[in-house]
Amino acid sequence: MALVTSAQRQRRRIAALLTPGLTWIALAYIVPGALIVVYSLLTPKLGGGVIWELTGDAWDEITSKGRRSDADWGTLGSAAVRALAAAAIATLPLVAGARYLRRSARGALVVATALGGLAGINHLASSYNNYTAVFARSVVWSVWATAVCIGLALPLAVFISSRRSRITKNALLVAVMIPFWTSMLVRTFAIRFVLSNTGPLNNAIESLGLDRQVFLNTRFAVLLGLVYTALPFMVLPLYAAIERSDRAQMEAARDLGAKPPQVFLDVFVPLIRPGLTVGSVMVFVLSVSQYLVPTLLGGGKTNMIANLLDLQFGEAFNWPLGAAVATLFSLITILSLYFVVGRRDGADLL
Amino acid sequence: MTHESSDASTGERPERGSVTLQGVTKRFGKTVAVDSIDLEVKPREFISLLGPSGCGKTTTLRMVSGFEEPTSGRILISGADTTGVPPHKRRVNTVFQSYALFEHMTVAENVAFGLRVKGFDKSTTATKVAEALDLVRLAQFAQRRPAQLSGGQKQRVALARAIVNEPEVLLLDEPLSALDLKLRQAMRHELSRLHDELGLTFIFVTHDQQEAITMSDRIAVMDHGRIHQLGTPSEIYERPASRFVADFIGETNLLEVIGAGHSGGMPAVRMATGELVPLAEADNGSTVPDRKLLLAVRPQRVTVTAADQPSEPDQAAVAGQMAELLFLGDSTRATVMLADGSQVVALRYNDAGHHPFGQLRPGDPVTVGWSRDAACVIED
Ligand SMILES: Nc1ncnc2c1ncn2[C@@H]1O[C@H](COP(=O)(O)OP(=O)(O)OP(=O)(O)O)[C@@H](O)[C@H]1O
Ligand SMILES: [Mg+2]
Repeated sequence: MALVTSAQRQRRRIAALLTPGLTWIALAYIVPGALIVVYSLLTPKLGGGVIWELTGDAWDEITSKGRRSDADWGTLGSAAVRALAAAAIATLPLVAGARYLRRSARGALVVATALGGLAGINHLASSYNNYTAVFARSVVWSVWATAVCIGLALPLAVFISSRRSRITKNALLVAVMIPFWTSMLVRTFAIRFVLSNTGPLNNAIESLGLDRQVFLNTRFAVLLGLVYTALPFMVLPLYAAIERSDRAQMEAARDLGAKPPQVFLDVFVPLIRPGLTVGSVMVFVLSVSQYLVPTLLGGGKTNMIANLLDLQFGEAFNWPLGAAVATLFSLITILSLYFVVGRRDGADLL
Repeated sequence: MTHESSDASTGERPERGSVTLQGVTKRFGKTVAVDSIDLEVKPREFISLLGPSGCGKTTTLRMVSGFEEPTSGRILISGADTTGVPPHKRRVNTVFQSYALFEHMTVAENVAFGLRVKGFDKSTTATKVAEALDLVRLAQFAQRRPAQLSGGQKQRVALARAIVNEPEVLLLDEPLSALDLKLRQAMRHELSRLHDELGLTFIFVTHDQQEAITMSDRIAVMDHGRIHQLGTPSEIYERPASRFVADFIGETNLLEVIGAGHSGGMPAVRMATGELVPLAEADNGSTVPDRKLLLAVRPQRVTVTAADQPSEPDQAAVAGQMAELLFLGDSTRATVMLADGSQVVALRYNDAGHHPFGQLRPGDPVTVGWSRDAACVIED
């Protein structure tokens, strides 16, 4: 008689529990994902869809030097590699910054190098072809949105966490989340109205005796939209991390003679690092795939990756090209996630 | 230690390592956590703040380290007023109750922290860290993280991290309370050794009277934000100044008596049962007739004899009835019921095979007694 050990039974039970989830992941992500990669290698059909004939046209298109490009470096292959490197390096400050800030000098150096590299590669990618320009812009703006979100959310989270009464804390947290109770479309239109030439912001500026400014359809408007949409995803993990952090460690640092900035960099930041990482990943991923914000606030002049996808699938009816863009996009996202999940903080994400 | 005598003469000039609390009060809203405390801690002294939970020990310590400002009164460290001086500028270090080790740093980095933020160069830091780790016997754990250490090891890292800064005063907030009994006893010796080797002032907070008694030069017994008694362990143990102190420090018999002046040439008090009990010296109003007082006698000092045995004239002798005999392993505990219903407890070590209370059994008429220097009178 074959005896079933408890370990075996345990394994079977786990398998049974995981089956629906794994099936769902296979059907919803892996199959369409593979399909997208295959589509990117097929021939476009007029009016949408594909003809099942293999071709590298789509990849050629997005990796070759643009017609109006004035950049003259590298070959087609290295261009693709460099575009990927740009995205990878863009995620470095998020991960490495959070990882190394403990040694403040080294942390600052890493962040500065990463941001410098990002700027350089952004410049190259922007002038290479239209596609790399859109990728570079999406990544750069998402990094900016993440940085601005950290800057705004950290003092806010510290403030909320330092309130004495539970009720005040909860009320403030709810206030942070209120925007989520209205539809994203309505919210984005509302910002559009506020920023418009005849909107409240310009009215206020005029009443101060200044000239009306163009806010709408500028980079400023897009960044504002990205930050506005993603801010709660930074506040909540930071708040949770601060609440969980061991305040005694900060007191210990002061007791040992650390000045307030040293306490902040050497103890506070490492303590809340998991929250910082989780928040940064959420804000970055959310921003880099934004569609409504660049459409409604950027006025089509300043496209991001999602607009490019919409264009290829919806208007240009070049599905393979859209699929190639999507593949590259997924690759960037997966790579940047790998940087994070591959490290200790990943455990807090999963 | 002999600080008492040597410092009395130099009391005018406070030394490095002294801590003075003058009328220090701390209020949190309506709660008075510390209530006008006066305390002089001498340089190199090991002083314990002993008291039950919530009596204001931690608050007192936090005012010395600078994390709380007194609501009124002032604190001097090494003779200098500390009002308004932030924690990182005080030459005082703390061993926190929860250790508060930096989880993201190794043991060596933890110990080096205080030196690093003060800008010591790398080689000096390394030398001092190695010395401190040697002192707490953790040299081989330098590269571990706090999560990989046992409670006792963490405790010693916290100690090393504090003492490496060569503070003038070391504050310890219940540093042993998270450890098990064995380890706690070992760490008591370790702490005493460190105190002797370092020659620092230790202010040690505890709610464990055993700890305070075995390690301290002096103990301040606290309750409700006040110091009830300040004295050497033996003073506190032998001559508790109040019912609270007598109750808090070890087990003690507290008997209601009234002042009776003198009897047979000796100061004496009268028990509620009528017997006159002689005292070693007249104190705390025992000479005032009919003054209500408490008599404190440690169970170890109480003798129990059969009622028909004669007792010595300068011994207390009170009639009662054996109520209970309790075998405790290393000792036996006898409870005697007096005529007025009050109880007296006597404790005796068991002597291999011998019953420490002889043939006495519950229900037997007995006499409880104690020598007159065993009793101490407390004003109630
Ligand atoms: N930050 C604070 N806000 C309000 N009340 C406080 C604060 N800190 C302490 N208290 C109150 O002051 C009193 C003394 O607290 P403290 O922490 O000094 O006690 P303790 O003697 O250290 O007790 P334990 O042995 O439990 O640690 C308590 O009643 C406590 O509730
Ligand atoms: Mg305490």
